[in-house]
Amino acid sequence: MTWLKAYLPLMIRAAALICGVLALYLYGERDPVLSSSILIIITSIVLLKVRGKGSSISYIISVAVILGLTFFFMSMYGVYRNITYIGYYSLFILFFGTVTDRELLYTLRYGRKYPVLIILALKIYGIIVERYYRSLEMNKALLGRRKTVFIKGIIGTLQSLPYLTFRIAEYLHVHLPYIMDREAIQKK
Amino acid sequence: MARAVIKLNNAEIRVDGHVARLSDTIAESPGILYVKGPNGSGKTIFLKTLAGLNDINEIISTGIIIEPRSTRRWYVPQDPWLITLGDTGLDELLLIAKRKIKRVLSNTRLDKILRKRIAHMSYGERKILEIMKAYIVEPDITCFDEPFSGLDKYYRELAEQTINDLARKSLVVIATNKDINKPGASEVKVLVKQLKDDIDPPIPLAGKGEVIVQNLSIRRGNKSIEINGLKLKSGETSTIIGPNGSGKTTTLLAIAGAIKYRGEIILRGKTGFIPDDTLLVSPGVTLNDVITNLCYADRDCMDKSFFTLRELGVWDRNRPYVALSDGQRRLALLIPQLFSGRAVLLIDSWLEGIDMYRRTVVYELIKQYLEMGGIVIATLPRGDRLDVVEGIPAPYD
Repeated sequence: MTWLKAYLPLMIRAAALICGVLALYLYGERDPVLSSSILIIITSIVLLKVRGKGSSISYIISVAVILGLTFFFMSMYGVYRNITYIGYYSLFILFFGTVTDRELLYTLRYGRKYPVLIILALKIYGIIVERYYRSLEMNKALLGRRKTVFIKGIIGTLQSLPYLTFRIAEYLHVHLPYIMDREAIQKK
Repeated sequence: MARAVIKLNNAEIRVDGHVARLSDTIAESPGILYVKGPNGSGKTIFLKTLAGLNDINEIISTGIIIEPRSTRRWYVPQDPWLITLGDTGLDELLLIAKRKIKRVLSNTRLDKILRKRIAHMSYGERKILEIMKAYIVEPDITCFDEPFSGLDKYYRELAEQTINDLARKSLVVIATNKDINKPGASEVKVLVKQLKDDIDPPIPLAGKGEVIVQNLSIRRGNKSIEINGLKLKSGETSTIIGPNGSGKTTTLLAIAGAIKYRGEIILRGKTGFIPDDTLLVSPGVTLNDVITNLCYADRDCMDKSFFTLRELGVWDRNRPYVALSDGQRRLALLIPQLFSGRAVLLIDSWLEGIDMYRRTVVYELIKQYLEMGGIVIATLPRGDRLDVVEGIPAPYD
């Protein structure tokens, strides 16, 4: 059962990935909207299960932004097939965005720096969304259930980006030498 | 493990136009060096300098010698890191090292916490995770910034034991605003200007408020929190006690109406809220902006708040809010809400992180606020289970 427990998430994601590739292969040319929609649904569900609500929402927001840009360029140039790129983007996220920390820990044995940077890149979106939620709660407690709390939350989160960058830099400065030298600490 | 030595000789640290001066001392491993000073004196920037974070924070220091230069250092911040590479506490520990993990997990309570997702951990649980990380790494110099604040009795003892274990092999530096004296430990004081003895700005009349909580039930993740009854009228106080992770902050947020709940909560009057994580207030703004917002731009409230904060050692109103120390940020959130005529004040983690002198002053202000008809509900990491007790703790508790 341990084997199943360890590899089940991997297998589910592999199955989702195969479905995604098939959707793009079969309908990508004929019906890019359908294939991209299938991929968006699969990716958001898998992200929700593997990485939690924050990552799934940030992925949907990113898709909405790309969709907005695509429609903008479509209206300018009439390039309808550009929607397929959302499918490729979703496939990319489905493959890289759902890698769990445990899986990346195994790869630390082979190449140390890059897995850490991948986890970091994946985490940043989640942290911004989490901070937004927490600042929403605080603003609701302070200001009551008003609509302005959502806008204040967004402004507050954007204002906190430079501060977040400093804190991330501090965290990496303290932790990276030890993560890179994991084997040495192990033997100590 | 390398033998680490810290020498301070006319040490001075400058950051963002502010200067911190330190008393002379020599500390060497194994042992403990206490860094003592009130809120905002510069303890954190001294620790960051020791940990090698001076370049990131543009700190200029003189008179601080660390030998040998290649010493491995670790820094544990007062507020837990915002980012963690691991998803669960255990992942985060495993990223650094596998050794000692079994020993850490042999503590059943700790084992339960470490298997939680870090995003679902409470403030105190995240703090104990950071202390455990330092224990696993075992660096030559470990800098702890207020390691015991926000911890319940059990975790405070565990943290003390862990830090003492570390101090038997390496040099541990602890920044604290409390008067701890441990035999054999070295000490460095951050030298500051003496504050006035009496601060007495008048507290305006608080709005008439009422809090009634009946059969409250809150679900957060897989945790269920239940509070049977709480009834407070003007001038009354209550404290929600419980161990770390028992749901004190969640209960306070539910009373404030910020999260969904079952049961009945009647809250009459304007409510104020002071979170345990003071950085949730927009870190990009200045102290002036924070006070203007909390005072609803009321000139009288702003003047009184600035006057009191200045007397408490928070002088520069144009300083970025994020540049203040944790204790100063708590004061900056609490003082304006006392003067703004709010009927109910919800204070998460009571007066944790505020030094004894300022704590006594703030306590007197809160007493005045209660005499004027205000209601205060505080939380404190005490006791074995979530409970509501009458009254608020004394400043020295």
